Amino acid sequence: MDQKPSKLKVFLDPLCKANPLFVMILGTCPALAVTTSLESAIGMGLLFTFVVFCSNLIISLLRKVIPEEVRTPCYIVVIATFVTVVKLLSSTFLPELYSSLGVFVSLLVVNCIVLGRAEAFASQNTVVDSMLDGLGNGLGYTWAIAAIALVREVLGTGTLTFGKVFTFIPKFTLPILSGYSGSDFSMAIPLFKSSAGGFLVLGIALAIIAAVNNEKERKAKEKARAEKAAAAAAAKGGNN
Amino acid sequence: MEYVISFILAIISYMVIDNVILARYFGICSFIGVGNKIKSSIGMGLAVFFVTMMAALVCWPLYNFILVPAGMEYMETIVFILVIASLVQMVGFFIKKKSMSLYKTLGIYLPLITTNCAVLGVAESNMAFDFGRSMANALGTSLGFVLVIFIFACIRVKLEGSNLPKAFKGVPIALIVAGLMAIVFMGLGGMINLGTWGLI
Amino acid sequence: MIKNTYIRCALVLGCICVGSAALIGGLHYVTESYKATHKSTKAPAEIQDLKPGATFEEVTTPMPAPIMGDNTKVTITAIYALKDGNKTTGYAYMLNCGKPVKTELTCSVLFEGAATEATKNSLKPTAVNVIVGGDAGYDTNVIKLGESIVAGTVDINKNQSEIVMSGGTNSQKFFLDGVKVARNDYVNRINGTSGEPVKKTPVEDIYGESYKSSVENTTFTKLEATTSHCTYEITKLYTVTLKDSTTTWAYDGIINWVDPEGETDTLKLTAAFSGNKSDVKFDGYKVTQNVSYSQYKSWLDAVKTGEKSIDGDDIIEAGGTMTLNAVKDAIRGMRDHFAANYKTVLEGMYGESYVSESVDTFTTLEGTTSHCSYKITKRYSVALTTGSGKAYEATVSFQDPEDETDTTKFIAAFSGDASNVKLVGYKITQKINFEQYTSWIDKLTSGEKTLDDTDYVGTGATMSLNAVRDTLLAMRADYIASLGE
Repeated sequence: MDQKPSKLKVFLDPLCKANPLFVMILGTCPALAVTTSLESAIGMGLLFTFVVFCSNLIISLLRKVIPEEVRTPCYIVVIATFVTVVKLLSSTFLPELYSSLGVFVSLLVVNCIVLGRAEAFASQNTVVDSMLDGLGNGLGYTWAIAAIALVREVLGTGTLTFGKVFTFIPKFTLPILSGYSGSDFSMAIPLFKSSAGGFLVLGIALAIIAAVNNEKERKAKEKARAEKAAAAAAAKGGNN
Repeated sequence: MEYVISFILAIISYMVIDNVILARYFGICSFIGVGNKIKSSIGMGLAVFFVTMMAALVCWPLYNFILVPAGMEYMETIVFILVIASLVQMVGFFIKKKSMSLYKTLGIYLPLITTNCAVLGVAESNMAFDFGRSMANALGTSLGFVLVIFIFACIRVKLEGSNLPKAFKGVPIALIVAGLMAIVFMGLGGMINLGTWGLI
Repeated sequence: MIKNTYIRCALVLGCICVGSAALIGGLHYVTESYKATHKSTKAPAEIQDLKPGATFEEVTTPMPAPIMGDNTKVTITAIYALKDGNKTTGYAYMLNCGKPVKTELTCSVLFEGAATEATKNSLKPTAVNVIVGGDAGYDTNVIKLGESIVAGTVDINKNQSEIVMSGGTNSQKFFLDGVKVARNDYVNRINGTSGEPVKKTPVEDIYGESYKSSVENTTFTKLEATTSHCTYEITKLYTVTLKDSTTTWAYDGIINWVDPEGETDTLKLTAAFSGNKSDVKFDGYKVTQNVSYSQYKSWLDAVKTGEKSIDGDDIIEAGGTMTLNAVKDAIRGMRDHFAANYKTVLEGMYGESYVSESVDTFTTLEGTTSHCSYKITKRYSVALTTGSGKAYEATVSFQDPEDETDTTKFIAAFSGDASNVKLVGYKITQKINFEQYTSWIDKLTSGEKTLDDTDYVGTGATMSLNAVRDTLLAMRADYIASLGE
């Protein structure tokens, strides 16, 4: 029987090793839709974290009560409730974020990650573990889409704009590839702002990660082979 | 007559120009996961078509004739998703009874449609439209979905045989292909001016 | 066992549903009450974009009623005051201008700085924002037009057909209507509040509360005359529109005479007249450059009230006689010009046979038909050289195909006896979009068609035509009835 993973591992895994977007390749719809702006992506990530955290919490609390047959509908209702909660709260307190994310806030209901974590983890683990798992997945997803948004916004518009969505920050624009005041210099590639750019960025990101993983694997294999050979040689030597 | 023409143009527009996957970002998970089997991709597409149409047919009146008069617009997320989930169950039952082989082909895809952004996305965008436009949206969206999934599966079949760097095999190349397809479809933009029928 | 599972399932699902409904309902209530108490006082983006960084404050007084522009109805949906500290330095308007295709044209306009009725024509908006798009060419051309107006390369006072670009002409015309309506409201609103008290024009002074607007008559040529008492010039003629939609005339005059000391005295004044050629009324005067002997003023006041006749031989005590005689000559000169040239609306319709007119005591005749509802509000009795006639003013309302209420106002003049009623002429005082019925009324006045013809319906604008026809039938019925009295 597998040893129950430590609390720290539960939290850290989704941040890196088991990242919901880059490793599990789930939740790709918002990852392409809201990543044209870094601020929107961070906002989306935070809303997502809230939803996955709360739903994990409640589902874990109720895991012993919900019968097997109505498992899925129950999970869906719980998740939908928290998505509606998030919608109501964000439309009141963060209206700019709500309007920039549009329909994708509602689509958190069918986000594979939320449902996936509920089924795979929260239904079988303690409340604390589930909370940590929710937090970890949320933050992991947030930094993942933020990374994509960073690339897309910088390459696509050449600047990083803050303060448009989170209005409590004063609005300012960081010129990187363009937008320098008084000059028309621009190295921005508008392709990245469009949907095609989103696909390309995500595809390349995944390819990079796969390449890194492959490299690790290859090294591990090499090491294992070397050890095996050394062990065999030692055994041979020993037999001699 | 003008209405009918607008309706048809709207379907074409939603299907090809504002394509559900390539321009509106819905249904990507299923799109990536459909793999390279052409038959199953068509099956998946058909299932999405069914569910989207029925969901649109049910959700629009539900929203406009029950939720809005009761002032309970904020309940729409829950109501819609429950409708979609139950529709998927019913479609599953139906297909199981009628044709076991079709059911086997669709396999795991059917329950997966519940989490397909396209279905809920269409139902949500329809809230603001009148009935004709919402039907055009549903038809165009699901037809566009089938179209793109089919093209994609065909391309992936070809990709199987090609010599790709290891890192790109599988999902990465699929996404890049999707990006290229998106660029192609982008070229169709502006072809049809829909006026008040168009997606804002 | 199975039953148990079903019940358990239903129970759990039901509880979860109830719990979630309670949570959401409660949260909804909380957020609604929060929203109500924290209603944002920020100006909406469309207004703020006109001048980023500036402070806009919503004007909470009731919005002015929708106004009919040259082409369409313009509704001011919101007004924001541009504030510089405590001072209001401008106003921004959210406008709704008619329906070009299926979507309405919405725009926001900002006017800044001092402006008066007199400087109105040189006033242009400092920023314009067109918000909604619709038919082909609409977006780009209206936006271009807006930019040209702000830049000053297009003069909105020019004839609209000279300004609009091809492609979305309706939308551009509606947009121009909106800008003009906003400009008019701005002039009224900013008048006197942008620092210095704004001087009223003499004509405005004469008519006071009932004054609406005036326009200089550019075809008027200066009149000069010399009498035994003075030489005077009538330099300008104004057509004045009053709030009750009647028009009057006002003259600017310069009067010169030589006083006993051999010095030339100059008196400048503006005088206004109304009425008709048989019955000229002196409405009042305003002196813009005075002389030392002002006793003539009491005579002018008496003529205004009717106490004294404009042709009377009154003189005043020594010292004022010269001035008075000079003024009399000038005022009579103006009066003569008025009597010879001013045509009332009805005089224009009846032409040569017109003698005089008077307003009847008339109770508003209201009626509803299958095509419209009308109110005949005024009746005039017109004396003609060939007999007499009657004219009517009416307001007609009907529902258009887009289910909006269209209202048109017009005056129609009748003459003739009961067996042969003639429609002599008509004038539309409030237009609607579909004016094709005017070609039909023209056929009525020329005699080509009669009100009883049933083949009156042409193509297009059947609704407005039917509405107007029903009203004309009602007017004719009243005319015939009045002949019997």
